[in-house]
Amino acid sequence: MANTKRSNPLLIVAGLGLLAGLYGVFEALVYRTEPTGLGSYVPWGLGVALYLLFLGLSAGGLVISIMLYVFGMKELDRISGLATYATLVAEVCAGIAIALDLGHWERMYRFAFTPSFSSPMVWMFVFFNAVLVIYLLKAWAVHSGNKGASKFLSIAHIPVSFLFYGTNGYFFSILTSHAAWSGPVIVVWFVLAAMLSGAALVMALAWFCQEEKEATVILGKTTLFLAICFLIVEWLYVSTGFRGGRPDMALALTHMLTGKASWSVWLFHAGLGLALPLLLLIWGRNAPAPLAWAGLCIVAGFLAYRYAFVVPAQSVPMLPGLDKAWQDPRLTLAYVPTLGEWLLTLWVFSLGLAGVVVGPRLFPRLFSRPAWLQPLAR
Amino acid sequence: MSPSLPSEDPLVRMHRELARALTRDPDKVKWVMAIDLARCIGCHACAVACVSENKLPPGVVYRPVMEEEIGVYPNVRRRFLPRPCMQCENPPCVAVCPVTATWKNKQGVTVIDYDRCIGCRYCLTACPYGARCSDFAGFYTNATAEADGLILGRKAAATGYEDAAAPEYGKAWPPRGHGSPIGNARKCHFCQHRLAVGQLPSCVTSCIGRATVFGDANDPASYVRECMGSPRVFRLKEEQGTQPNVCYLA
Repeated sequence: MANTKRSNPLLIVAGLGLLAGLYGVFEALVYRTEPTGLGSYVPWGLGVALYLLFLGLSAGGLVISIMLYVFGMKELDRISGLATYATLVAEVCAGIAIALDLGHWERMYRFAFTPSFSSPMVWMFVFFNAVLVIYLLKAWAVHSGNKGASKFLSIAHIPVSFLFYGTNGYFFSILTSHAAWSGPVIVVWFVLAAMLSGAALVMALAWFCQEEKEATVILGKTTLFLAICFLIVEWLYVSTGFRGGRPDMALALTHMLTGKASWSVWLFHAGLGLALPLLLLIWGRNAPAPLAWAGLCIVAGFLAYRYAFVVPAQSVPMLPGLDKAWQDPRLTLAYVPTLGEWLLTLWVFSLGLAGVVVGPRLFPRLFSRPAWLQPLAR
Repeated sequence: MSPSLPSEDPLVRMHRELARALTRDPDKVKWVMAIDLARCIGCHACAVACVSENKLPPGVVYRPVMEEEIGVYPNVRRRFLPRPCMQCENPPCVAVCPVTATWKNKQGVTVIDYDRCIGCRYCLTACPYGARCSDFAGFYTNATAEADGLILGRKAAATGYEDAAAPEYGKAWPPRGHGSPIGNARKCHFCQHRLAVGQLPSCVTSCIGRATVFGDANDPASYVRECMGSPRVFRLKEEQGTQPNVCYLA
């Protein structure tokens, strides 16, 4: 963040978060999944939700590339470097979040040595790394002023990114044992969710980091469009879930909307993450500051959305009575994240914040307008 | 003796059939299980025997027995349904494993390589029967007080059970607390280590109602094959297309 008046306090906040969250990282590295609140019937929790959140935030670069090279909105060239950097930071955070969620993170090399290509997780790994490599190369191209390479990589990564975000949806959609995860709508929803949260992040950063009024306003309209599409698909998901004739799906949705953690869905996802930003996006459509705040609200609210997608879906027993058959805290349908999980979440968030704040200082050329863009400068 | 009563204990017959199966080409043997719900009395002995045999820690269970109450008073019945791994013909857990740590062996049993499993728990979410557990490094003796002596105290208790290496897959695992299977996915494997030495799975031998029948599906004279031909046979969640190799007799 170029503005030191704004960035220094944020850097202190990020530093404190990194310090406080260290215990969560230590626990995850040393004790793996033992100190988590997970169990065998709810094996995925906050860690997976965190991964999905940052995975979505990394789609900002995709949105900018589509608008630049598919729709020809040259005004967004000014924030291309910023979007590239934001994508990289989000990808790194997503990678750390999911790696530390593994029971044996030290065996991750197995993805390369003994992969099973029938598993969507392998394709997720392949596309994750493909996106990471493309963005690293693109960051280098923007940094070194190589316009041709930057354009080529921007265009090349569009299909790769779609495959990546689609694969993440596919990853869940084939899990027919959990009704709330399965079905083709999940793939579309995942891509839309990623583009919405990614666009929202870049929109906020475009204003707070570079004070790009024009780009922020354009992204405001794009985010509004994506938010409306997202809402339509979300309504389809809920509506078909309740009326589609699958009792387990209806039960999972009931738990999601009225269960113990439903307050976070309504307050953070529906309220902070959708309703408030929609109002800001509509009423402040030509004012960059409200738009940037709308972007931040969407980003903040998305953790609740990801959590609501991951956890309540697992609250329905695979077989009736299975959760009562053997009494053990790890064999129930209840899940409450532990302090260690929250601290790890805080650490990853702080890492992302620190990355965003120090970015303009470490890589100033990514944030300034390259020479070839000068004619477009205001 | 009434002709409707069995002339020999089904366990004796199953043991004889197991010995016969072990003399055959291993590639032509297919292990399957049938569970007669009319004979299950809900004693949970199979679940406990399995935990004991495989030295399972807290939170890991391969064969829980689900209980279901059917009807309204005074016409109420209770049904017990043991749930081992279904050893599916088309196992979703195998297809989703990213590192080929789990597969179906030649006898049709889905097995896990604990040294390869990365602990992503994707297989847990993919199994429609909830038949896989994750080992979260629990210890029964964690809350046991330390005390000197050979009989009392945490150390003595742990040495007697959970610090001892699990016999799973016939491999000499290190004492518990040192790497795998902690952090791994775990599941029922029809007691592969017992089959290898001519013993029936522990859930079969411990079933006091003789409700669990085990054997080679490719042996036309086997007891399990007889059971599989019963009109009472049903399988769980057949609509999922998993083709379970464990069937139930209603």
